[in-house]
Amino acid sequence: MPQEPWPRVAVIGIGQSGRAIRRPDVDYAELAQEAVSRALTDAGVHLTQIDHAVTASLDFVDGRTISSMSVAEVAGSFLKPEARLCGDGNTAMLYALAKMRTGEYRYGLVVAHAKESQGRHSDIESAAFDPFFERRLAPDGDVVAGLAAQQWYAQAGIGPEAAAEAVVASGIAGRGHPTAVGEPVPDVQSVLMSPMLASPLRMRDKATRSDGAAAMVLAVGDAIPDGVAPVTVVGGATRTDAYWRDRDLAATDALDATLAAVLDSVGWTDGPDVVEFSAQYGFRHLQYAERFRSHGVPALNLSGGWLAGGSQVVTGLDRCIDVVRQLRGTAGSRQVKGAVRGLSHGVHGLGDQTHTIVALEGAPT
Amino acid sequence: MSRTSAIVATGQTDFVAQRQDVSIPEMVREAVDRCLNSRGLDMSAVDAIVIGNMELFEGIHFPEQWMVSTISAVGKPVYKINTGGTVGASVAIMADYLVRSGMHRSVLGIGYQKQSEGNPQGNITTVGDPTWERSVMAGAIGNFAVMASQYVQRSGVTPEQAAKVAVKARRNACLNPHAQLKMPDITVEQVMNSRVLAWPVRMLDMCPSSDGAAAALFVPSGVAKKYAPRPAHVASTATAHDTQFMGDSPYRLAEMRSLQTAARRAYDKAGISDPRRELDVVELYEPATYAELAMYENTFLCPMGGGGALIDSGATELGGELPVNPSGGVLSANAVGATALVRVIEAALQVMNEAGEHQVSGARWSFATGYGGNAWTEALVFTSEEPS
Repeated sequence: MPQEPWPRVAVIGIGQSGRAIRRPDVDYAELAQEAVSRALTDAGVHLTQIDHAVTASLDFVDGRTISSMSVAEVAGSFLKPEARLCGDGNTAMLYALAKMRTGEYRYGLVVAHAKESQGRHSDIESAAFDPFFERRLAPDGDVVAGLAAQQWYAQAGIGPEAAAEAVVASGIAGRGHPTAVGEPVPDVQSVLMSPMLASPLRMRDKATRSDGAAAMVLAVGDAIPDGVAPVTVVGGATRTDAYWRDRDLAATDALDATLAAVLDSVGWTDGPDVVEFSAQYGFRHLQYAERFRSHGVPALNLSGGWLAGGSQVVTGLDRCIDVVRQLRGTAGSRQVKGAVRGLSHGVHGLGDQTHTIVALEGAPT
Repeated sequence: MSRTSAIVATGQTDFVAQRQDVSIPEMVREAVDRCLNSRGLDMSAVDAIVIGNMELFEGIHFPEQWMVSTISAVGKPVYKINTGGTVGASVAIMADYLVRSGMHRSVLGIGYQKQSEGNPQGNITTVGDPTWERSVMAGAIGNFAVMASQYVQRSGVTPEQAAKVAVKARRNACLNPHAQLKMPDITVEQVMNSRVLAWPVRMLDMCPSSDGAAAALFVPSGVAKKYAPRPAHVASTATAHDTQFMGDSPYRLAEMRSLQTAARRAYDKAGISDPRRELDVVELYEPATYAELAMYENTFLCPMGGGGALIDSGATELGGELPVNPSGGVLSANAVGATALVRVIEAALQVMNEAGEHQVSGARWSFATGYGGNAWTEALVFTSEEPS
């Protein structure tokens, strides 16, 4: 992404819905509205001021074609532009950034939502496999993750115990966090003795599925409130790897390429101060943490990350919101002192085929 | 920002009822190859890809990820977008923004649908609210029948005037190598005597169901001439959505408030004050004959209530004052995920002077729309004139 004199795009509002394994009290549009209302309140902006929205959701998860139709209104898009990205919320952030940079809009809204409790995910994910050769084997995302874990454990010389430790640590880190779901796994043995998911992965190796939505209000130019030092979206990148059967599942090529592209584009002389990344399984946490640490990042997933709570589609925007909290200096007990540069990371697809990273900057304190 | 983008290459598969010879990724590859090969390019010229499709139609989850190897997109940014019938136009608009914002140097927009491999009408029904609407929905045909009934009541258009749209479309399609329904001898009487699908919509009033794919390459206008002798510059884009519930948008086809909003916004951004006079050719997303007549009115090509008179005048025929859908339009081919991108491509080809037998002589300004969901609307203006 070139460094040109584009207008500054600032995050002026963040909001997240209440989280639970199951939210029977709301439909998915109402879930999104919860997050949108909180983001608008945080920004001090009324829904009618929103010029455009970019949403992220999946028809298969929502069980409805053009499922964004029922969210566009709560995103303020009546007779206004709304576009729906089918992927992680961070990807919606990239499109919103592109639109805001053209200077056509003053206020933009990014919304990501998934009500995972309403679907049978093994069936849904089975539909992502080749219909001729693979689907009859009834595979799902966990099967691909299991194959990846087998390969990576063998290559890295790491066993399930290390991954289980990452799960336990993530749960502890997420205690009391707004997006945390359920009780943290108490110890490593609880992970290792939980029912088999897809060898070598156990049930507690994986983040608990949940219902949730996240939203962010962006502003440009004179729409950015005076007297505050809002966080700026300075760049981002996304890369998609080959379909799961056409690649080395233990490799992190797409993540590495995305990270390199982001860091190249933002031109930071120092590395990021804080990174929030998306890992749905314990072994992925170890893999991805190692890649980010190789760039000298000291603070990783202080929120507990996806393993402490979250859902597909929403995880990237959740991570983005946690980075904003850090750069605003409002992360409470998790605050990294003096954090100025942050990255949020999201994944999408079978075996994390697509990685998306958004780069944010706060004002130096 | 004054920066603009331009379409410099396009490709379409031939649209047919069923492609048994290719898989979905192979069909998409065909459109991509036709697009890039038309300028002697390959995927190394592509910085990012935007793919549009209605994934529930074929029942493929993460469909864009299935095909990245087949279209040589591994390691590139790949965005998947789904906004309903508008999705092909959403692809084009996203590609335009990604280029204009400097996020990517070149963006390949792709739209596709292989409707023969799924149950599109059954899946369109799921667009309705599961509690209030779904049990009384009947796919796209029932939806358009309600809208057409309202439009007929309000505007007084006749079945004969609607049939003229069908005749124009299927005859124009004979000049388009990619169109599906080519009917050189079709007559108004034939349309009016075709069987009723849902009153007042008859079989030949409605679009077909197709398999097909389309692709277009967007680059910054400043470098566009390196790729194409006469690029199609994107003069403006606009999007406007209506409410989610059909009952909240009364007289939806007679008063297409979202289409009016998008069209007016696109015209204003492009500096067009009199579209009837300033546009040279129009590609409307008209899934049914009655819709095209209503869209004449709601894109300000004629006064409200004047759609019937406009088709009677012959002005929208190829060779008329303002040809509409010289490609044959949606009435001649409809692979939903590709259809709005085809409208965009056909509008671009006209100002590029590359539309072949259905070229409108001297076209310099063109207009395309996308339409879907509950009156989801997008509008784009193209010009051969260099941006200032």
